[in-house]
Amino acid sequence: MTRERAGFALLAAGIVALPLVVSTAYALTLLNVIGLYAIVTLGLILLGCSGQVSLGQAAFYGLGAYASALLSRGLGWNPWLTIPIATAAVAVVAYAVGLPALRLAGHFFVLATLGFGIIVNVLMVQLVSVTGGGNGLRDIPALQITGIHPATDRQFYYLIWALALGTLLLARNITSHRTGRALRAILASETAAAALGVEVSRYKMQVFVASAAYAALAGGIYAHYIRFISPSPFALYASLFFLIMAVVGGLTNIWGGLFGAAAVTVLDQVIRAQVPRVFPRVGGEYQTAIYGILLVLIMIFFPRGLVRGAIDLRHALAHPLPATGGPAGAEPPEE
Amino acid sequence: MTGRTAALRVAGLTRRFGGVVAVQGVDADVAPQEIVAVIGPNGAGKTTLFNLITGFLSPTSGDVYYQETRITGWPASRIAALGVIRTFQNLLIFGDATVVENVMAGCHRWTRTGLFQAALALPAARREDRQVYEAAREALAVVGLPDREHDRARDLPFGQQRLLEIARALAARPTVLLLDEPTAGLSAPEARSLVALMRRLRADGVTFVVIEHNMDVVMDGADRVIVLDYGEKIAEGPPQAVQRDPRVIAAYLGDDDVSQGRAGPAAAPTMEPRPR
Repeated sequence: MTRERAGFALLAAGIVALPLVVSTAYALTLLNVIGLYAIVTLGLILLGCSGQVSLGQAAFYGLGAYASALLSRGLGWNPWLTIPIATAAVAVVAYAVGLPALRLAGHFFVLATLGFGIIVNVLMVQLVSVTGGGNGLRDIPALQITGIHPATDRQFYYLIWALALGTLLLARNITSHRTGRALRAILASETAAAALGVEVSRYKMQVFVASAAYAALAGGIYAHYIRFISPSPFALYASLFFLIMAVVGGLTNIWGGLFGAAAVTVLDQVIRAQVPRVFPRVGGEYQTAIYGILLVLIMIFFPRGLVRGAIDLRHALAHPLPATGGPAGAEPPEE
Repeated sequence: MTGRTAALRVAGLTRRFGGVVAVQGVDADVAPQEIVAVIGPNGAGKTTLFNLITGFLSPTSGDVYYQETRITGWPASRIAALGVIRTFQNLLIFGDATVVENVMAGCHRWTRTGLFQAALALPAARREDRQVYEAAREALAVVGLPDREHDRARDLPFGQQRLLEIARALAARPTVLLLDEPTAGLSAPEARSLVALMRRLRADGVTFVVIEHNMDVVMDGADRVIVLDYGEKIAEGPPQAVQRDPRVIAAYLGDDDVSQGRAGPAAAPTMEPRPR
């Protein structure tokens, strides 16, 4: 516990100090984007703690962005107000989506979130009168942190990373205490969890709604940070991107979320910069291929994420005899 | 049962799987603080009966009552919340968690804090953590696993994993405890101490329904035995009487053996389940 606290303090200190070292506009923007992605990823990992995977997080991210942009543009409300309203509204949407979707088991739930993500993205493109269609929404009101001027990159940095650390703490707490014990029971065996009185579907719904709220919060900030939104960053590709971040971090490892978001975002930048140099004539599809391969490799070799995977690997090298698997499965009881 | 409300009662309980009738028209009740053994050959419908009582399966027809409440068709978690707690024949412990974490998960039923109290780590949530940890240690001591609380559950030997699952069930503070073959994998002394444990807990108010193949445990521990065969209740009564019941002997040894006069009371005590 104290080690965890020390780790958190170190992380917070590093985040506070980082802009003193790196101050180019590019680096700050990159860090801000990583922070926003980290919030989405943390939500996805929270969801992963109940044994669920979503391919619809980009839709929640986008809904948060569009809702806050439209409210602040259309009604002239302050973004400080519209971001939480948008977040709450998206949480309600997630609840409505979860009611039917959470009745589906495993892969079918993933497919439902995938379908939801596609529907939302199509609506963003097609509802031109509301969303501006493919042209998107311009002139989104700026977030003001001090005075009347739009917040600077650096101010956004501190806002975004304060929220990232805050959501990290919330997620960490949710996965501790009674709720965390219930989630771990569900993850290990839904049957055993139910036999102990854990309302499995209720807990799954709670983390699903929380994960959507995380994504929407990040989306709302994004809209008032970039001040222009269009459907493309909220397409299926982005959902896959978020999922890879969560998988790299470790699908049930809250602390891995920041690492996953940072590693995959930086990798993405490297790929974008380097691949055209090596293969000048390839199109944009190569990214999808690279991420697909990456996802498969990690799932096969590091199913617990790269951070825990590295720890496991070190442990395995130090203790060559692997622990034998117990009979603790998750099969339904049968005679 | 005279005058007292049964802790658990099933009436005309039937479950079909396609053309197969797994449980057929079973009527039974269990008095408070009774220890009832459910025996029968493999495939007799014992675990299906447990699944029907605990809400993991819905009956095709018939009803389940907890005290005076009809709980037929309730979700498993809601039935467990009443205090009807079960263990599993094929062991469903949380292998990656530590021993004490496994048992702490069992305390869900009588604790109350939710997502928001957890998210903000409010004092109520942290106070509950301490209570739950103490309760879990206590349950581990009760089953005799006090010194392994920080070991990973899957690293325990099989017999201790059984005891761990029982400790987790006890941590739920059950009113009715349904144990599915609790002594499978236990040594003879371990099985005997489990019987002693059941008797102690019964004195504290727990009602037991136990699926059991070990006849020593049945004879020694059960107040009453219910015998299932092909999904039907074929006999019921005190262990000694059931053991001599020709229908029970026939069920275990096969009808042919009885008709050929090969089975007698002397053959009964082993009661090895016949293969099907």
